[in-house]
Amino acid sequence: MNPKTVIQLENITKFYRGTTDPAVKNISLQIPENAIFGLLGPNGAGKTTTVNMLCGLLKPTRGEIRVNGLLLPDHLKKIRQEIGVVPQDIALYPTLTANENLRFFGNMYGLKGTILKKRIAQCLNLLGLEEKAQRKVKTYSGGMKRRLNLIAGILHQPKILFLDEPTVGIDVQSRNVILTYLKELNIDGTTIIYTSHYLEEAENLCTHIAIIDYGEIIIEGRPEQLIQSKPEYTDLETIFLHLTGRRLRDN
Amino acid sequence: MLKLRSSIIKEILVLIRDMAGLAILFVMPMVLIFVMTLIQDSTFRKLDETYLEVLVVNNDLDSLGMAIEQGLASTGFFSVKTSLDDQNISEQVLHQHISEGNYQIGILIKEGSTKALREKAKILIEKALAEGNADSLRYEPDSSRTATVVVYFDPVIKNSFKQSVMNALDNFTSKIESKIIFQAFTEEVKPLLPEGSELSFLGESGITIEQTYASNKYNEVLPNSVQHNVPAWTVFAMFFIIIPLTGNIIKEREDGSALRLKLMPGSYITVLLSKIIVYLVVCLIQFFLMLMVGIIFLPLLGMPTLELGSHPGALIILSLSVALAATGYGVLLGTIATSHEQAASFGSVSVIILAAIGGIWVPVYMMPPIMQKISIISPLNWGVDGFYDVFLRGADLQKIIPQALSLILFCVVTMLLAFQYERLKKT
Repeated sequence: MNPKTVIQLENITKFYRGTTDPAVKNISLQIPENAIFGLLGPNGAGKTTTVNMLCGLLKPTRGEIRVNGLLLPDHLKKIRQEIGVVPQDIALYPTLTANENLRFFGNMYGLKGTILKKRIAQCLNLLGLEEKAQRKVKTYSGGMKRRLNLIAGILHQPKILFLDEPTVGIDVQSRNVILTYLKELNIDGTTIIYTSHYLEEAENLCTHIAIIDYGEIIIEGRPEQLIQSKPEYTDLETIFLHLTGRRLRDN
Repeated sequence: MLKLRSSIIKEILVLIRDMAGLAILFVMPMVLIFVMTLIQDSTFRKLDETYLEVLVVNNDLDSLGMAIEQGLASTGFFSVKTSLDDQNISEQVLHQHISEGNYQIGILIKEGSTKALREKAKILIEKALAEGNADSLRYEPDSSRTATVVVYFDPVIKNSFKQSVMNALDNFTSKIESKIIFQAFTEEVKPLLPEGSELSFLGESGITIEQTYASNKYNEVLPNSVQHNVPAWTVFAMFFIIIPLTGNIIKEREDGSALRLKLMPGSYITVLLSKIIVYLVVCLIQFFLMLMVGIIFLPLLGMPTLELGSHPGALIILSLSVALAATGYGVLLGTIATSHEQAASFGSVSVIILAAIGGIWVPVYMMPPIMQKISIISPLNWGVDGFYDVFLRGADLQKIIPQALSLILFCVVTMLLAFQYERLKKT
């Protein structure tokens, strides 16, 4: 039996105001339930535009997006309750403590009282921050901030989690804790949509991968399938370079 | 309600942990009021014409000299100085001070002026009573003796001040001249009157000129430096919250918190609302502190006390309206600006321009007519004008409705523009 599709994109095109070239060109994708879906591509390939449309932050110029069968943007409010987002930037208040930050974001998701308190304690414990909960975020190291950034996106136990480069610029230990936790979340039933430039990390973590370039999906499938389909290449990184080229993408 | 409460708590925590922001919000405006009020005090006093210093050399030392000296002092417009450094002023010193610009007006009442006036009066009376028979005149006119008052003006003196002095002198000399003529007349006709009866000089004019201000109350309150500067700089400071407010909005956007909040159901509007509420309260605290400066601290430095009028309701509504307008402007700028630098520079310069146009630095009534017309486009002007109404013209709630509504409308328009801009960004 085919797994249920949680996110479906049909012929999505996005033009930004005042531009003639589309940022995303006629993309169609199906993301199955409980997948860890890696959306990979060079800078400016269209990853962020695609994710922003999936979250309802941007409206597609053409095409249709369904999340859990619900059409965007008609059911935006309901969809937003079911998704969690971990932005690439540390989207936290540096002058507030970890606890104050999490209490605020938890309240914003409608969590309160003992439930919120327990959930904060549980997440802090799992990501090794329980002892630093009363410290202001500005005193945290890069790895601690990343872990806290992740917690703020999953407090409300979303069914679908969007992660934009969640391990960028952190030490190996913090990266290991984050990736282990993401796998646990996935085992518990969370579908994860993940963008990264770390292809080895994506290869190990993701159950599904799509490579996007110049606004188009150029290859899609399970990592092992992609590697098998190109026997001349040994890993995802060499396939990626083969498909997207070695030219620098500064824009 | 949970989201709003939590968001308000978050805003308060962010605000109170930002010491530099707190200084901008509360300390700097108070310092500004102190400095501006003290600097502008002497200018306002000149405008009120309450302290125009006049040097007087009274060589007459008789009725005319005393009448001019006391008359000038009694008007309240002039501060009469007859000595400098405990030394009587001579004609030469008087001339020197005026020519050097140390004082703007000097009056010299020449010796024997009253005597000359008396002689002139006697001759006039005699002439009148002699019915053309010049041989019967007892007094010979002495052409060398005349009553002379010389007024020295600094060339830079304003024409209105010059005119005030001349009018005052004209008034006092006329009065004393009439009195002297009456005394001479009394002396002449005394033998014709029944024994024991006397004529008395009434002195006062038979015409009563009443002065009244057009407003109902506070006729005694004139716009001085405190009455102008406290409301003016309070409005300015309230509008200056756009700097921390736009900084707060842009920071949230730059660090991704705004994005996270936008992805939470209904949270972005709640967060924006919480910012508006918190900054409204900040504005009201600012307003209260500024009033305290005007009521308590400035009088300690010898400044006049700020008069608040008698309608606290009008004052509260007006301050809330100014706070709303300032917050709306801050939200609009924070939404449109793409960086801290852009928001800070555009925000501060725009508020300074609006303040200059709106009569914060120089009151609108002192501006040229064209600028007076332009001033009505500034929301800061609506605020200051409203405070003038409450403080000086005794306006109640009904009277300040036009200004309050204009400010609230400004807030609504700026908010709508911000929301529209945010909506456009989505596409």
